[in-house]
Amino acid sequence: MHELKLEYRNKSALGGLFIYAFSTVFVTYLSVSRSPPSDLLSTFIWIAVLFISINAAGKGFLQEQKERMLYYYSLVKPTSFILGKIFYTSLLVGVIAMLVNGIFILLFDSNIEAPIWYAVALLLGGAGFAATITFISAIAMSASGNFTLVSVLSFPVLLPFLVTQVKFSKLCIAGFDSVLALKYAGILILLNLLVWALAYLLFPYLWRD
Amino acid sequence: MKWWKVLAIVLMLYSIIGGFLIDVPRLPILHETIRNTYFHVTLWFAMMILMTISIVNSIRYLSSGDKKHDYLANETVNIGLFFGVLGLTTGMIWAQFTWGAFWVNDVKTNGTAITLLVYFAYAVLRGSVDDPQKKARLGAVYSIFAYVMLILFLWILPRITDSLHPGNGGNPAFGSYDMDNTMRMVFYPAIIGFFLLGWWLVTLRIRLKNIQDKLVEDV
Amino acid sequence: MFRLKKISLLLILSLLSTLSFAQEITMADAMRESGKIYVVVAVLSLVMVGLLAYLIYIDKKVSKIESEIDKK
Repeated sequence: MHELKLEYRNKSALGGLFIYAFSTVFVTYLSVSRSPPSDLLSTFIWIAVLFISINAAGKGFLQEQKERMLYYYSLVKPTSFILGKIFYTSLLVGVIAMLVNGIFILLFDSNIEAPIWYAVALLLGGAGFAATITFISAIAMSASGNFTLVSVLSFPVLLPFLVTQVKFSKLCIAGFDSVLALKYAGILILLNLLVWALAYLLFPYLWRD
Repeated sequence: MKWWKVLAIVLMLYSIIGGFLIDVPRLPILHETIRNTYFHVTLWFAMMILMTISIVNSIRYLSSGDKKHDYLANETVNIGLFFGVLGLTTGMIWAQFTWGAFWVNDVKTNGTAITLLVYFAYAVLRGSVDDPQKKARLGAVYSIFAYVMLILFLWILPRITDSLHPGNGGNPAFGSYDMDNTMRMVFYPAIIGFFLLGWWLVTLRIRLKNIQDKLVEDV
Repeated sequence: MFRLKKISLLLILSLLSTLSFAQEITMADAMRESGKIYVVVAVLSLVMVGLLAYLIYIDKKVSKIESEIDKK
């Protein structure tokens, strides 16, 4: 997993990310101005996370220079490369999600009924977002290096995650029901497995350039 | 002319004539619109078959690199998308008169819209790459994603949540138990008819592409 | 989701209530009795035949161009 170390060099971008996350949330807070009901709150949170993650993680591949890609190419196997990349992006998205959630909950002064389940939702959703965005941005990078392509390609694929995620967090904020929570967690785990497996299997075909 | 083209013509005509003249069960809400089953539902089945052919050929392309497989995968998606858009609009008309609105917030309807969106994204992806081999490879990879979404949204999600569509969440409109044998007599041939019609269009488009390739080679 | 449940409940109830009066369900029976339905079917069939004939025409044309290109 020395992939992680390689990625760590780009940390200068992280500071910008924090500011980006904070301003997005703050804009929402200023425009809404009162505490929204649980379904709206979770929608706000996850749409914010979605956009910030696409912006942050979607560039993961686009930023790589050709020479550096060649260097990676000689260094690691494609499968371990994509897994490392996804792990790194998961961390990134996880940090973003926690940040956005933290600021939202702080500003709107909401309390969460089932915090542990909420954390589970966050973790699973974040991992799914990360895997999908990373893989899609790999496709977009080989296609044209055009950033809009990342959004066009990844939005519809991210939708199942987003929808389940919003419902799951809403459930955790108010009106918790453990049977439903288990069902949502199950769906998220299955979706995660699916996307990770697809990324693992298909990435070698993108690698050849 | 090939035998299956004749079959397509016969089946299409049969599904129109049989679809309007053969007796159908009398059901509330649906009334005579139950005959839409022959034309709306069959479009979706035809699309499913086309998309399945597409993913099989995408996988075959990834392992073979043969241009033939790529053309098959791409053109089946194009015609499948065409059928899908027709299915969505016909479904909207039907929904207006039976469920009361052009767009009801239904799992399957929403899922279909998302699935079509994924396939449109596939078309955008292909459009944004110039190199034909790269286009084919990226398209194949993304179309596997698209097909997984299709299965997820059209087959799995409607079964675990409530849907107005029959056969999902205990809907009484008409499930498999309502479709009696006389309906099946038109329904299945109509599926084959629509599929063969779509396949015909696919082969035509592929032939045109091959002609284009030859012209480019000659220049 | 709750709304959907309500709608399907409504559907079930309306099914149950109408089952006993199955005759009341309006179908285009009059059209069938007067034979006018055949007019509709004739028109639709003709449209279909026309479209299919056009498809055959295009098919032939493509075949012709294919053979021309092969000759070169």
